[in-house]
Amino acid sequence: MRTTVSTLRPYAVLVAVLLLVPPVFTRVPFFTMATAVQMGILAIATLGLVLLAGYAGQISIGQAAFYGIGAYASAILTTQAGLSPLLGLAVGALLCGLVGFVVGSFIFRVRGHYLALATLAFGLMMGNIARQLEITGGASGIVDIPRLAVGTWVVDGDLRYYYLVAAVLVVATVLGRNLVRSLFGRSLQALGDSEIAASSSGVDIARHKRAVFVVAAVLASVAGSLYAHWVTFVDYHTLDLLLSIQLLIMATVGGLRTVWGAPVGAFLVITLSQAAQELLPRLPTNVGGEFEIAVYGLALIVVLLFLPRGVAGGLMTLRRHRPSQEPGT
Amino acid sequence: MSDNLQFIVTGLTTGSVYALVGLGIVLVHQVTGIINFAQGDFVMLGALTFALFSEKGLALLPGVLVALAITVTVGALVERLAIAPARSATVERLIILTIGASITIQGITLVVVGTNPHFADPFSPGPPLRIGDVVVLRQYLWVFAVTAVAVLALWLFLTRTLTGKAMRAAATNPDAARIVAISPSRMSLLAFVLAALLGGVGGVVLAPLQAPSAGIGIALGLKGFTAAVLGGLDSPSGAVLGGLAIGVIESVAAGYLPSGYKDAIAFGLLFAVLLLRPQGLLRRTSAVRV
Amino acid sequence: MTGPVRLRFDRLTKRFGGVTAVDDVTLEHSAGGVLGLIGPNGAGKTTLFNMLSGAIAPTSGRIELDGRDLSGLRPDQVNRAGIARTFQNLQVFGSLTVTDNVLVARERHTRGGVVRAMLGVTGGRRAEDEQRELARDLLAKVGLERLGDQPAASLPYGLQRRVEVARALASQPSLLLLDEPLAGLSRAESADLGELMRSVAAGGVTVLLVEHDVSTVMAISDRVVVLDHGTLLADGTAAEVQADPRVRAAYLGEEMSA
Repeated sequence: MRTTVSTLRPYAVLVAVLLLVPPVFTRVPFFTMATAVQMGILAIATLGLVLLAGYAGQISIGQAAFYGIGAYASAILTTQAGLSPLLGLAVGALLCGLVGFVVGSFIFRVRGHYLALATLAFGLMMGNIARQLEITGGASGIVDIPRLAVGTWVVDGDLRYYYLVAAVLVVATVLGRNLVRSLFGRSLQALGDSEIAASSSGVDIARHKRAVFVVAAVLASVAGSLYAHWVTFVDYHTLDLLLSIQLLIMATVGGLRTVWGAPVGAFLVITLSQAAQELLPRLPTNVGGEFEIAVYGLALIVVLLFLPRGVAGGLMTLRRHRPSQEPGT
Repeated sequence: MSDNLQFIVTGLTTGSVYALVGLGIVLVHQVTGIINFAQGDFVMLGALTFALFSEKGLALLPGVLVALAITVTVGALVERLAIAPARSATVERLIILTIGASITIQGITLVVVGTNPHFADPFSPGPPLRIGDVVVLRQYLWVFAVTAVAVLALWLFLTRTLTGKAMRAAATNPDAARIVAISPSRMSLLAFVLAALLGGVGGVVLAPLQAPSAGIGIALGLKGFTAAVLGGLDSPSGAVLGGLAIGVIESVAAGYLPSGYKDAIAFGLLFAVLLLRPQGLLRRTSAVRV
Repeated sequence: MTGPVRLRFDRLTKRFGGVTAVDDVTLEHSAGGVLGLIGPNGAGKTTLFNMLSGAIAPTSGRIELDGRDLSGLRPDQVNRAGIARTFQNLQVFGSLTVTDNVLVARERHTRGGVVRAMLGVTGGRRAEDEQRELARDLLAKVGLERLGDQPAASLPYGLQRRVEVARALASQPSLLLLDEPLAGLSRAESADLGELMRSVAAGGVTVLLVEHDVSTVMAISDRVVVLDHGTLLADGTAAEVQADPRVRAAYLGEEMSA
């Protein structure tokens, strides 16, 4: 892969923006570092969806299942098997990759609406099972998950956790962007554009779809593990359908066909829902955070109708008019 | 044995509601090619609004009419605001749009109504009937009757009225339909309105049996999808049979498995059907799509 | 390579429910050059084509390429066996550049799957440069060398068609299937594309052409096969076929010479 200034510049921008977050968020009354951590974690999971649904065109509304598997794996392995958090995260990712591989081997027998429904059913099944099994703590979930530690550096406090999450996000973005710019990634995009033409050009559709499905599963798993060690508590709500939908919305709002859509989408959607919570003071007292799905839904519809490339995607298109830009960034 | 009969009776009841959901999905899919992810939410709206007004003391008939009116209006709004503007969008976009519509409906409902369930009075007061060892709540009979009437009415509409025939024409051949001045756009709106009506009716009769809350639409929708898919997604009668089948299977299985797994059964069924035989169980294997 | 590829249909049949689209077709072609497949609407040309390219599976019968049975293979497997195609309703990869459209067809010739791709190690610079060279040459061959960085969807119709041809050639096929490639093209564009087809055939690739534009097919084909109601009606040189009374009868109501 040719490494030039234009290749590295976007990463520099990303790192710069991420480094600016703590000084800004701690000074602006609206945002907190906890919000930043949440944005980062969800951005990682969203990245997987961007690759799967954006580039390869395979809509999945079941990503929360993998997020949950990662979270529960980390929880169980650290609380019951005594594994170190990092090892737990790795094992969780491996497990998710395996599940993704198996599911991805047959779920792509269907396409379009049917695929979306199948992933929906899968996600709901997992959530249901998580609520029933003993090993997952049943309806009460798992508590007292130990804090994450990198060597002797214990990651406690939102600020430290943010740096960890940001680092993971950068690594994930590099990997994702490499994938997108590679020939494999072009083939993914091709199959998203025209499956029959891609197949007729020698692309093994089933294997490509399965591969990107596994990547998305692993990214969701890592995000889930990070979440588990941050909140130190996991239950079946972690795999809620709402999360799958949230991720899809973040990907869509941010931009389905650009890796930058993940952080942009996560930032915008969470900001939007927090803003809505502030601006609607007269809420019935028994409404929790769930009302924000109305906001999500409207944001989704608005974006799809007026800004189909998403916010980051729209910005990329503007930049592409400069001759030195390489498309497909 | 009588246990099983009980499960079957209960299953047929919930299955009737699934049948109505499935019918709505097949209708919209046939006419527009879209799977309406908000179909379950139409049931929720019918059930919840009916329950709300029932709690406030509104009599049965006005309550039903108000609930249906609200549901149908929402259905029309969904079609006009989210579907019609995106007619030429890709399948992926349309899927995401109907998901967006679904969660918007749920969200607004949550804001307006809150998270608590609400309770509707059964349509006719009185103790449950006993047929042998089987307990049959009076509301069950209402469900059966209303579903049968709804299905019959829909069938008559599609086969005996001009508009209904026009809708079927638009479903099978939109280009030809345009030539004879049947507007696909109006047919799309009509399909959504009918689907909303079917869902609303299902919700209204269901309300006294399961206290509705804003989130019940998802599971209902999914079971309705399963019903529609079982029947082959093109067959209204298939959807009806599929819905009844799912209701019974779910109910019987829930009798033997820990009750928490009840939903997982339906989801697992959908998963299995989609992957093993997406063309449905009723249709003979058709030729491969090019 | 020992000369042009040997293509053989053996009692090939396709039924859709009650309709027999292709009925017991047997054909052999090992002479290379351009083979034109014509016939009135509904004759079964597209179905035959789709079976050959792996888009649909035959109901019965075989398709053989150099003795290898291709019936029922997936499209990508058919591609690996040496067959590439274009599409009547244009299936360019709209969101990719012209060059990338061509490169996708080269993906299976490169090493590395998803993990290598993510780590940024895909066989090294040389492998990628080689593929880009090849893509550039192919684009030059179809006259698109200056448009490599354009998004394919932004090109006019006629040029998009050429992108498809370049993409198909990128697979280095021994048999090139062209599905109504002249549809929607102007006279000049048709003539150009016709010349391109001849030059491809001269380069050793057998070209199988399904077309409605009978005059161009007659002009560039070495052999013409006429299909009607799923069966072979006539088979010979352009002159022979044009003179055949059965062919005229089949085309009654359609223009024989445009």
